[in-house]
Amino acid sequence: MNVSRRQFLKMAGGTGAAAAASLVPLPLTHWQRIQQTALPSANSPVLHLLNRLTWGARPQDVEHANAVGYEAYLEEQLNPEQIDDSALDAILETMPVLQMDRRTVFSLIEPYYRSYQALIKGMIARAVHSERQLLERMVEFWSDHFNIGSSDLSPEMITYQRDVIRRHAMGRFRDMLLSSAQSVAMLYYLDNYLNVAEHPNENYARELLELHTLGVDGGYTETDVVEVARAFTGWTINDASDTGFYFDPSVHDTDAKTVLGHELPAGRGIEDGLHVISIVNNHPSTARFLCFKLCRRFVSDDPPESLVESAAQVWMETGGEIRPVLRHIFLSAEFRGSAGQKLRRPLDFFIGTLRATGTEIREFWALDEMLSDLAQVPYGWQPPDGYPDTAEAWMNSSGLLGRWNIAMTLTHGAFSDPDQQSIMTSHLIERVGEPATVGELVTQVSALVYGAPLEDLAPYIEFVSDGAGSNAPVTPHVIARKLGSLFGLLLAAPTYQWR
Amino acid sequence: MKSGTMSRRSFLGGLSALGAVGVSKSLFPSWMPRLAFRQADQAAAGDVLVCVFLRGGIDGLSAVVPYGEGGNYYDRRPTLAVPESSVLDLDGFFGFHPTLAPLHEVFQAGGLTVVHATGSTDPSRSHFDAMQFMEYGTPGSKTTGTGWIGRHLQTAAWQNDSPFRAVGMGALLQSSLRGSQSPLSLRSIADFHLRGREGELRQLEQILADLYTMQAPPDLLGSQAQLVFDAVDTLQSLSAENYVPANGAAYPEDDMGFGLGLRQIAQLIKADVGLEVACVDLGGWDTHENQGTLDGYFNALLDTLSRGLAAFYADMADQMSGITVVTMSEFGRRVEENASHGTDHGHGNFMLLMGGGVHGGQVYAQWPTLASEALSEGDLAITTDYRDVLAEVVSMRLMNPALEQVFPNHTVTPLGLIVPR
Repeated sequence: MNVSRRQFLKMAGGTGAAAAASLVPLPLTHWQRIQQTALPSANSPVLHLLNRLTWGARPQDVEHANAVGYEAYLEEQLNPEQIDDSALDAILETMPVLQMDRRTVFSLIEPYYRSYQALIKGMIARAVHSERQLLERMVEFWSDHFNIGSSDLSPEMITYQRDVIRRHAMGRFRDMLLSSAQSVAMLYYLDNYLNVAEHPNENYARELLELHTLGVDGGYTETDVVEVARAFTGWTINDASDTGFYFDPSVHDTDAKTVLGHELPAGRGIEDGLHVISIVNNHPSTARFLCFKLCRRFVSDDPPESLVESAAQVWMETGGEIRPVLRHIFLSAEFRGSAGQKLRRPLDFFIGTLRATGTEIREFWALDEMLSDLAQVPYGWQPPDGYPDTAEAWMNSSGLLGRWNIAMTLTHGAFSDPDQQSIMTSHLIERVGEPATVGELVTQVSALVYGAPLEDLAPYIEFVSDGAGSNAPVTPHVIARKLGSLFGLLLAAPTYQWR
Repeated sequence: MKSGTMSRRSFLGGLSALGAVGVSKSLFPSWMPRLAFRQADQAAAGDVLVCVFLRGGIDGLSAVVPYGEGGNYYDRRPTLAVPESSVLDLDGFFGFHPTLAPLHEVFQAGGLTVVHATGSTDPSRSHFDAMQFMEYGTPGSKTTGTGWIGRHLQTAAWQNDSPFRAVGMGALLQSSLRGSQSPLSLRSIADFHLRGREGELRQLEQILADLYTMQAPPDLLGSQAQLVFDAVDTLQSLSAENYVPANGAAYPEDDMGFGLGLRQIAQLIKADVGLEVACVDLGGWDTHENQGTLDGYFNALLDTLSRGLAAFYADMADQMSGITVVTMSEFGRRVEENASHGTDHGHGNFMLLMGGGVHGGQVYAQWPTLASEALSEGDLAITTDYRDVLAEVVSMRLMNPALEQVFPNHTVTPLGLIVPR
């Protein structure tokens, strides 16, 4: 202990002095050295895989994945339609709004609040309870990629999330791209519903190129933005149609256009926009940009160039099929060597906590407030680029304090405070069984939180046993007074913030 | 859209029955030697800087109206132009949008100066690139890795070991603050404490401190934990809910936290906790459609900006001689309105400088005009590099001469906007 503290101070002093003297920018690799050895996943490829493609590795997940093996587990998750999800289905039956079409949603009393609530509750329930964990992870990825953040659009988001994002989450990129371009939510959010030949509105065109497909450095010009905007004139909304999408030829710009070197002949209608979708879908920059983002999400904040390149090759060869690209990434050596390199985003942290403790939040407003406190309410990021994906964006003092407080709230309040039990309930006691000693108890709880026991449990044993050590018996007093805090501390610990 | 049926306070109130005790610094090891120190009797060497970022690209031609352009402005903005009869005149050519009336008073009192046709010289019309370029202080370079304020803090001749030296209001830290110093990220003074069961809290805090000392390597996670512990005691003592602004100042209670952010900055300055730089954002300016003119969406947002800055000015009247407030936005908006009664991404924009050290009551502009041939791809050109505006603040109010490090590869042009401290 003393040694590590001395080393710590020495290193910290050294780093600081160097920075003050020479203005070295904070290197990104800074983040990649962190915590790799302390995490149980550092020595377990299966646990590492679970940490990245699930919303939190529960012991039963680890057991199952170990039983079938790394590759077979990955294949299972790549084929979610073959995984039984009846437990989740039963929960979703209590959320009928999620299955409604646009008109039915709007016919509800309080359609905005009802749909807002259903969206958040549905997202959390699926992440916590679905056995199709990779599917839920991909839904999250695409929800960020094709981000729509506006509480005014909640009723439209029901259809958007279901029929655009979820439907195509493991399918073909082109299908999702076209589907998003014709969705009412996107047409509203990026203003294309107002895009007409006289004075085009460039909002959608720009974000289509910059955020949805080629990426800002993907090789398009300001002229391309204007030309794409012209191609999408007349893509608008008509509430009388089933989907809400409507092409209005009367406001479409029928002159010839040039997009990324491709000629769009004069005299066409909706074909212009469809042609642009094909052009950007097939563009090599799109393959690269999407694969970069997938690798950043699933591997590391600064993903190895070699992996981005090889994944982009798979993308191009398969015409933008998602599953082969994911398979390639998860089977790569680069992925296998990346344990501990991703910071849990606030939502990762929150849902992981729910999965580890079995906490059920009964009151929606409490759920909503906890998500607000963590600054990551689902679908709540207003700019079109989606919630940030990297550690440097999230790790700051208010974010860290927020995590500690949520960890304590979910474990103490639900467990030991009668006033809180109408708001949430947890199942901490049921989870731990009947361990005889504090050492067994702490080992077991750490496995519930981390998927496998932590190596260094000394501070936790010291706390739970009041200094009596790992052989101290587990008494009713220990369970009543210490169990919630033990869960809370393990979740608030620095090691839990990484995965 | 969120339900207001249960108040947030009632929920948190329930939790604080569990206890909310301040963390005593003495519980914790001194984790790492601070890079430098401020001597006990040394006053802050420069102004407090408040940096306001207007995210989304505020329509500068509707806020600071070049009504003297006549047809060049009015013909291109058939539904959005602010009528000459409505503007609050600034200098016979420019006028404020009428909703900026509270700031017009500050302007007339000499506490505010306006810079127009300014901005980041990179031509990007991407929000995200343009914001990054502007906050890094290096237009066109994405690999700088540190922000202009971060570099200022690193290179200032004095140092200051307060955890409140640099504070970013909001959940995510502003990129301008990035650098080797750890800025404090602060959302709510009132909520900045650890929650847990009373009687056990100190023990939990001690364990957390140990875990972050022993387990977390010397990375930002450990240093953020240290910042939390350092800041908690001070913030506990501020009793945010009892804060009464001076001179009847009324901060807007907008749901984006702009008014709250300014109010908390005011409170930190008055508490003398070592604050040197604070960043606060107001977003939502990306008005592609139906932005409105004298009422509507844009007007409401402008009202929040106006009342927020004016409230801060009134609240801080006694301290304003040592404060400089500066506003900026990633780009302006297209001169010509689009068919959806909105404006697309443009280029040049305005900045505001407010405080005791500005040559107030003037509009500074090398005005390029809105004549077609003077536009930059249809947008207001930039004739004043925003770095020149900031450089003057950094050197003359923040007393940091290291401009070549704060704004590398930029030759500063003096503008004469600032009274030397």
